[in-house]
Amino acid sequence: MIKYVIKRILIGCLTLFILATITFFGVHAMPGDPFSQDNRILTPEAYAALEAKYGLDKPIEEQFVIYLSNALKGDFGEAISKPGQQVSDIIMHRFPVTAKLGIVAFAIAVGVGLALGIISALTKHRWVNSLITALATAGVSIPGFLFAMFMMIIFCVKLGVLPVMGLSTPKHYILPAIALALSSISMITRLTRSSLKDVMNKDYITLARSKGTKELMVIIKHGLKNALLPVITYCGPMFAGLITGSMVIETLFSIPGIGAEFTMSITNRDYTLVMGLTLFFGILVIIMNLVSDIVAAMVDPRIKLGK
Amino acid sequence: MALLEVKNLCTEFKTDQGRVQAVRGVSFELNQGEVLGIVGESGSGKSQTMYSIIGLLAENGIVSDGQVTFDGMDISRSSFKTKKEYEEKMRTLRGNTMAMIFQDPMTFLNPVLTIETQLTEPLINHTKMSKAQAKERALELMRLVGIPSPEKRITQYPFEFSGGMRQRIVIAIALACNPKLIIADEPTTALDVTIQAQVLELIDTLRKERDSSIIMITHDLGVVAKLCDRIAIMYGGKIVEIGTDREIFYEGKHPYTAGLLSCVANPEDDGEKDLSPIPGSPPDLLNPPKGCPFVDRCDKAMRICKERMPEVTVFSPTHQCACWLNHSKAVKK
Repeated sequence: MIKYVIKRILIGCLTLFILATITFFGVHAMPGDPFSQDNRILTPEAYAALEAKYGLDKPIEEQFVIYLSNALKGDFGEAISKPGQQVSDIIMHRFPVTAKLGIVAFAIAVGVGLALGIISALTKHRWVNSLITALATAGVSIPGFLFAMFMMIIFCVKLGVLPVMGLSTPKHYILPAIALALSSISMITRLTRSSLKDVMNKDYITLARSKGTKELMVIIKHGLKNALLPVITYCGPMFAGLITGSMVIETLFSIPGIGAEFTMSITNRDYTLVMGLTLFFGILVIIMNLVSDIVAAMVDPRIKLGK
Repeated sequence: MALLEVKNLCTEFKTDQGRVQAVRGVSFELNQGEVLGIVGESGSGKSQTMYSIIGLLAENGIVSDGQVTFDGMDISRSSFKTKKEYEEKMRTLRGNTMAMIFQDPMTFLNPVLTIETQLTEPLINHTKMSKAQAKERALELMRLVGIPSPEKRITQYPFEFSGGMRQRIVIAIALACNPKLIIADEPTTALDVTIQAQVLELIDTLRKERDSSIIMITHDLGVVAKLCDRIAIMYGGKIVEIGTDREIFYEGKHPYTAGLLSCVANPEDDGEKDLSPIPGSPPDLLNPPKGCPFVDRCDKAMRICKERMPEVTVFSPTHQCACWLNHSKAVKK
């Protein structure tokens, strides 16, 4: 187990290196540079001075080596578009806001998704099943921002029961969390439904019934434990996706989160911030994948970690 | 009085193409301590007959007619007002007084639950045993079905067992509550020949020791000859012939019975006699034939066979056959 985790972490480091390389050369290949969108026209001298300050005058390979060696020491540099602010400080400051919202969204996605999936897999009424399938399809296809705006109009403007902006009270979390979770709810619903439907037709379910086990226990003990495996595998990366936030939702609800920061850093061609955030998200995804694999191995004894 | 009495059982499956009449009026009796073999090819309705009796039909299957009496109780679907009442009653019987041994040990055990959980489940369901007592009983059952070092094995998962060992577990689960009736649905079909013999041996021993009644579904006549007191031959959703093992093997009346017997290789023949498979395929039960289901494949078919369902001819208190050839007015050759 420990050996397996260490191995996965080492592989994760390799993944991060590849991610860093591609992103580094990618952002530098983008047309323009961090200073070109400033409205004021820079004199060639000022331009050269700025480039020299951030080390952008050196050959790109050298810049890459310098960046990596600094990053290994834990120094991710200063955000070019925000003079005086360290990339790591921006992450430390913004990430908790996004993560809190993401965790709420994750809880909603798993709770609602599982419930709807189980209901639609087991219901004997065809219309319930059709309704849930239709909702799930809509949930995947409706853009989050459109849904969020509709909800804002209904709950904030017309009914006036929920606040529109910020995250100051628990009530503030309701709308953005639902909007953020929307597509994940649909995915989990569909995944749970198809997986549980499949499992309930398996031979071992017949054997469980032949023992005179109550139907509810057959579903929970024999059905769900098997049916949840694909859902667990999906939840890891989904969790990483949710806690890294969404630019659209954060902009709409005026949430000072990291998702909006990420998008802005790209339009600003803020090389250091893009690199820092990409690596940070990369680490999160790698960790979450590892966690979901470990949880899956705990549920299914046939999965042997490290083999 | 018979332990199990089945009268005119009919089962249908609703499919997109229409209603498949899988079981079409099956009647038989089973006495205490008796082993009844049900033989027939795939799709003859033998498994679905059993699933209908024990109430484990697939979602789209319904028992449309007939009466089932078990241990003096009427457990026909029609004797219960609602499906829920029927399910509740059957739940108290299943795994308790009637149990089933399934065909494929590879797929019938739950992959993510330990052997202990799966083996103690019927005991927890039907007895007042504590968890510890149930585990004790489970270990005893594992010893009974011949699983070495059960204390170690009981905490393991099905994937850590071989096919033969898994089938022993499936049998142990069925035996847990000392059922009066055991339905074995092709218990050896999925196993290697050597393991098959061991498992049959095990079932034979258990039956002698416990005086349980067993219904053995199989398409292997060798299994039937070894274990069964009486044999029912099923074809096209019907029992075409039923009798004691001697009556079927030596005095079989139905052309299908004769056909089945001629398909068995006899090592004493020295390969001189060819195996003679029965030509053709079983009838489509979506639109079952109006006459004898076997008529298209029967080399002795007469005109009446196509038009009317054969009447049952009784040869002895135990031996019956549904074939026009045996009718009193038929031309005897």
